[in-house]
Amino acid sequence: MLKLQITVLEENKILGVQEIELNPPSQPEEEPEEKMTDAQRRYLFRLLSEMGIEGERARDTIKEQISTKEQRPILDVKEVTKTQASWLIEKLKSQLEKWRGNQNEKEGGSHGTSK
Amino acid sequence: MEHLSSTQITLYLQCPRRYRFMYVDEIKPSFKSAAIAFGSAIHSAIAYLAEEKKRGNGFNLAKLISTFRADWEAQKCDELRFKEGENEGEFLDKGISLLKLVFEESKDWRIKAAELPFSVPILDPSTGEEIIPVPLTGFIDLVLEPHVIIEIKTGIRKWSEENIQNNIQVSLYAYAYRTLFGQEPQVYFKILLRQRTPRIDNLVASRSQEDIEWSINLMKEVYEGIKSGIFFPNPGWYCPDCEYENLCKGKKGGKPC
Repeated sequence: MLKLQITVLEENKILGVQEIELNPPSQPEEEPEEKMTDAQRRYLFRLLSEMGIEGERARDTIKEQISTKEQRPILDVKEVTKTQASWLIEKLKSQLEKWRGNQNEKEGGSHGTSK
Repeated sequence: MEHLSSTQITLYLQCPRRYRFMYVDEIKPSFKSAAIAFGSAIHSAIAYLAEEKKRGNGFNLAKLISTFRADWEAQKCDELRFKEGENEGEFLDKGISLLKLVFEESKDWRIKAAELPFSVPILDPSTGEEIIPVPLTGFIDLVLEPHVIIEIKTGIRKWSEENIQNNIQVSLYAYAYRTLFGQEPQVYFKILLRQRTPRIDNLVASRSQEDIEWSINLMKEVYEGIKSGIFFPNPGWYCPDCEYENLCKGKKGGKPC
């Protein structure tokens, strides 16, 4: 903690001394994180389209997913940062892989029963 | 300035003030014209088609169209401005019609690269000395075997011979290609026309050594203009579509833009 001593003088006579505490210097504000790139944005919409989520629903899904992760409302897709976009891309990719796996299983199963 | 691209050069030549707002002041545009968003979505869908074909992955027309729709949706995150008579449905319908034509043409493509990035030194064609201390950068839309470069454009109007001849971008791309691969490329424009009946014009854009030298000298002058801080407004037909029109008009010295 920094302390500042103030001496009050009048005609070279010390009238009083006061010591005050100074708050520590505030930390420099963190740089805002970069927003997602156009390529990330495109990729997100393509992944969602593959999952059958298109148009307004795709935008809402992105906002909902990031809002849940961050536990604060994301009102505009353009607010999404690079890191958040990467996280959502990975999540959607893994969901899509599972979904494709299920589809293949179903198709495999139906082939089996038809034989 | 760390590099110079043909987009920067073309923009500076069209309106130095718009260049300043975009690249010097780095002011985020408040809207995007729907025609530009359409061009971006078409470009990215074609690039995806070319990449997948190059990798040997199956890519059918339905996939191309769903990619275009998704890319258009991504574009819509920006505020799109439609001109009178334009609407989203028209852009989507024409886009799909045009991509059907592209898909047919793509069956003959032997793809070398899609959206090929480059960064090459800018050398004096006669002395070989570096004449601008930053590289020329860009992305070539399509590179086909053996040495074909294709620049894709979207628009409403047919391109005139003058448009083709005066286009600096392909002269610089021809220079970049020669620098990268040591070969003279054949250069084409693929103009995707959003007309009542959408169609594609494939146009040859041959470039001579003189054309390339002329473009490099022009680039040098543009570079010097930028470095000297010369950013006057150049009013023209493009002002109503300009993202910075209000800003420009509101600024002192902005008139009569």
